[in-house]
Amino acid sequence: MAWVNRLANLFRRRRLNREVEEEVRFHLDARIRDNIAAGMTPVEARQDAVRRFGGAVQAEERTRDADLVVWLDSLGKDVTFALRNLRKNPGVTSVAVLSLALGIGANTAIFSSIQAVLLRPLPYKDPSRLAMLWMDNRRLALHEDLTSFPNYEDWAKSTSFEDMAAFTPTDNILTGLEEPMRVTGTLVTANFLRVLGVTPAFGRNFTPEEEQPGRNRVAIIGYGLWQHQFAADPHVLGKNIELDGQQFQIAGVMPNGFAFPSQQTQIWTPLALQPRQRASRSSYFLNVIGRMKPDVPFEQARSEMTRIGANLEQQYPDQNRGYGVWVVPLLTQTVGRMREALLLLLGSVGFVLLIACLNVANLFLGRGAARGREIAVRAALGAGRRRLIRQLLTESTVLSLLAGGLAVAIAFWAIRGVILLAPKDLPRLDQIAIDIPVLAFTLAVSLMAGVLFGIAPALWVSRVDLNDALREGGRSMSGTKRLRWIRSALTVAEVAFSMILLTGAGLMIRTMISLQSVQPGFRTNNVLTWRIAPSRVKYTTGAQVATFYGDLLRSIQSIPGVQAAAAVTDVFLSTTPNSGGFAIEGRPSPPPEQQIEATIDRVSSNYFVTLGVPLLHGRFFDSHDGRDTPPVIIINETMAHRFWPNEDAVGKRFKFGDASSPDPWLTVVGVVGDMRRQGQDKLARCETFMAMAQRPARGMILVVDTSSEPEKIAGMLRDAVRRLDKSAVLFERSTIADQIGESLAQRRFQTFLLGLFALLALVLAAAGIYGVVYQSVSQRTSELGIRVALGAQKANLLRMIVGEALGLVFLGAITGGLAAFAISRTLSSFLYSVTAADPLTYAAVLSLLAVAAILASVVPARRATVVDPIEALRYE
Amino acid sequence: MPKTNDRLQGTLDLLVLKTLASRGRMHGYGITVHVEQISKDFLHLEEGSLYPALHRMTQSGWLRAEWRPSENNRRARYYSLTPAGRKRLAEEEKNWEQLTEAVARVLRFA
Repeated sequence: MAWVNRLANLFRRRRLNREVEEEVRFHLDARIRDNIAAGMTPVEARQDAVRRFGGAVQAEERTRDADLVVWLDSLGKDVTFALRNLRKNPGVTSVAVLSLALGIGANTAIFSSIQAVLLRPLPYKDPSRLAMLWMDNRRLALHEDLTSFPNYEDWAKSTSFEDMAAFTPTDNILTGLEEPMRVTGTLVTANFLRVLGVTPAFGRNFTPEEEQPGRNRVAIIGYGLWQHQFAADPHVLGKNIELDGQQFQIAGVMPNGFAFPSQQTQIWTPLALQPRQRASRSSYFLNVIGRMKPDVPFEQARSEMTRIGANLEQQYPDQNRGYGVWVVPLLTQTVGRMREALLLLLGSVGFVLLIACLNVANLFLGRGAARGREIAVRAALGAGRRRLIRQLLTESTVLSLLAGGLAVAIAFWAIRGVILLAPKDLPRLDQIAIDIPVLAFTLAVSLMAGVLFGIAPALWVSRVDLNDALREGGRSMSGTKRLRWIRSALTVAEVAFSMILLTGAGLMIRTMISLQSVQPGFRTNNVLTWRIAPSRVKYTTGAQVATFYGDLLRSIQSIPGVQAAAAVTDVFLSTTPNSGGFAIEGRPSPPPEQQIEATIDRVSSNYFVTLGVPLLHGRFFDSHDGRDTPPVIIINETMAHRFWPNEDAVGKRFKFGDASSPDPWLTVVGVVGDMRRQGQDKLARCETFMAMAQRPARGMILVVDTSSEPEKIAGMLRDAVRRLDKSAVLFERSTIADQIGESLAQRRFQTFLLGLFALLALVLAAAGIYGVVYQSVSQRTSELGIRVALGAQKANLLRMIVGEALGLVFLGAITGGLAAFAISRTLSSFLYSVTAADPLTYAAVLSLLAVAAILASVVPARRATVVDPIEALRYE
Repeated sequence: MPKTNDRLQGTLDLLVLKTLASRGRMHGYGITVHVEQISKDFLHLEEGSLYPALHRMTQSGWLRAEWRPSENNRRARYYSLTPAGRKRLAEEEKNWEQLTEAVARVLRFA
């Protein structure tokens, strides 16, 4: 029973090994003795004995290796041996582990972000079947525009979708408390929660009857609101909540963590539309979410919706021409541009890890040369090549697993940093964690890295032949030369990869700089903004609201430190701004698909002065513009150029909607400079401003220009508001500068990370250059000694060695530069006012690399200049 | 069921078994030298490959291995034939004869 024997051997392993060794030694000694007896010298006798013995032990090992149990056993021994070996070289080991850990750690951190943001399913039932549906506004090239109720009803007839819900976010003022509070709410159709596939934690869902005005006084509240405002009262159902002075009965409480459409949403009430709104196909104010049928693929649903959109265009040309339907999977919608950004970062950390691997491979090759003799002795004792490779690969894998362990710790802290530094509005970033998939990823990456950097040195070092091995010097000169060539190639690759990363980071930094220096067209320093909602009870008519704001602004202006105060409906524009088509007096109205929309905002008369926006023509609003004077309007430069390119726009008249509508004409009284209100990287659109005195709006933003820190006057501002209206709600206090900063935050964060990775790559590459030069100097001690002996100047030696290193760097930089140029097109969507081939960036990156390379090679090269020729030659 | 060996390995087995059958207990080096002398250096064994074979045949129960003092009083591992080994030798010899006969016939008539 052979296998019983084998199994028994496993337990007798140690003794067996000793016995095999002893037996082989007996054989070799006997042969040597006979050889000497036959007249050979002892050295010849030994060589002959080893040669005759041949690869026998390898054969022995091959038979052993076939046995899995034995294989596992020998793996354990390999690992022990690897650990012992790594401990023997603490310097090399710690440098290798550290660079790998940084590379793997960066990958782990980015992957965990990708896992949390892109891969983890949304917290709804069958989330892959959910999609957002938008009006594809071709007039404005705006894919994601809001829709109207009749359009929503027609969309919902689709056969691809099981159900569709419409909703519109709203600001609710929670009243009836000690101090009124603003809560983000959403008006929803009754099927809204069913479409999402969620149910209240307790309580009930809305019924279709509650979509009727008058029967809609019910609310479902969020878990957070229930906790804080109702102290987690279990009997909250049926109680009343006061929204904008009206009573709503609480019908349900949502489970913890549910917040849709935005993270801030805390209250849901039925969307109860007046008959006029239900019928108006051109009132665009609704978001739509749909659930696809289980077996319908997304593409099919999309093409059906496109067809429906085209049909509606034909059926209702007056309202719908120029509008299609745009469908976006909910996950894509939620993640937005994060996807591109994260994939870009994943690519970058991939490069960093590659550089780290090349670095460690280089280190191992350098050490492999030093270990040559050890390997040779083991080969001479009969270790097979495969066995040697396995041993060396075990060593690199053990190393990479150590690095992987450290990487998890690094990633843990890196993720905390990411969460701390990342812009707050990034979706799902708060869910980043090191979980099982992330750990699995780290393990896989570590193992891959181990093989990647281990394979070249293992193949190299195991190329031992016995004759060479038994020679005193270890390795032949030609071998050393070839080794140097390989190591140079690795260094060139390292430099090339870091060049790619540095170029990418350089382009992003240039973009950031140009974005920050863009003039937005209005004052940004020390301007406080604060949203205000005056009481609906105290100020019911538009005239009352206008008077309230007039009084309030006057009172704010008297606060010490306030230069000017104004009010506006929106300082910045969201992607779906309040806008409409319009008709110009005396001109035929263009076909609907060619109509341009203009944004509409209401401002107090001194708004432009407060923000320092220049007047180009005409006049600002003044105190004469009132409810009893003809309505006037101010437009921006872009609009004036577009519609009155060769004439003065001032004095011209237009109206929103149709020329035949009963609304009065609006007379242009002024043209103001363009403002970048959609972000620093977006040009102004056609924008219009109406006087608050003529067209009052209830909710506005107070805009206060202060002489110093805006936050300092916040208290006095609040007092001024309270004196007029005790129940007014102030919210979203900010400054113009902060809001511009926030609009750049995601980009800045991405640039920061990319820059960090590029820096890491540079440091790793520099370490690689250092290592190669250092080891090259040690290996060439005798050559250098001869040169010194023959009278070489120290400066020349230094120049020679540094020059060799710079040659490698140059080669790498050229390769990397070309590669960077080839792939920088992937970056172009992240760039602004910088081309992907920006020469300045390339020049800057090249000089940075050159400086790093010189530093990294001069330091070790200086050792060459202190070579003592006598010492060096004796060493040989 | 014994492992099917390739021809070369079978030959090595045959040589070892035959050597031990004719000379009794021997250590590995002794077997090497004996095969060399008998074959007059014609059969050039890679000496090391003998040991895996000895090891395997011991585990298959054909050989018995024991440690005993050698000629010059060092400890050496001595191998001798078991009854199973003798049976194996007979089979190997028969196999060998069949093979050589077959090859000879092919050479004659091919």
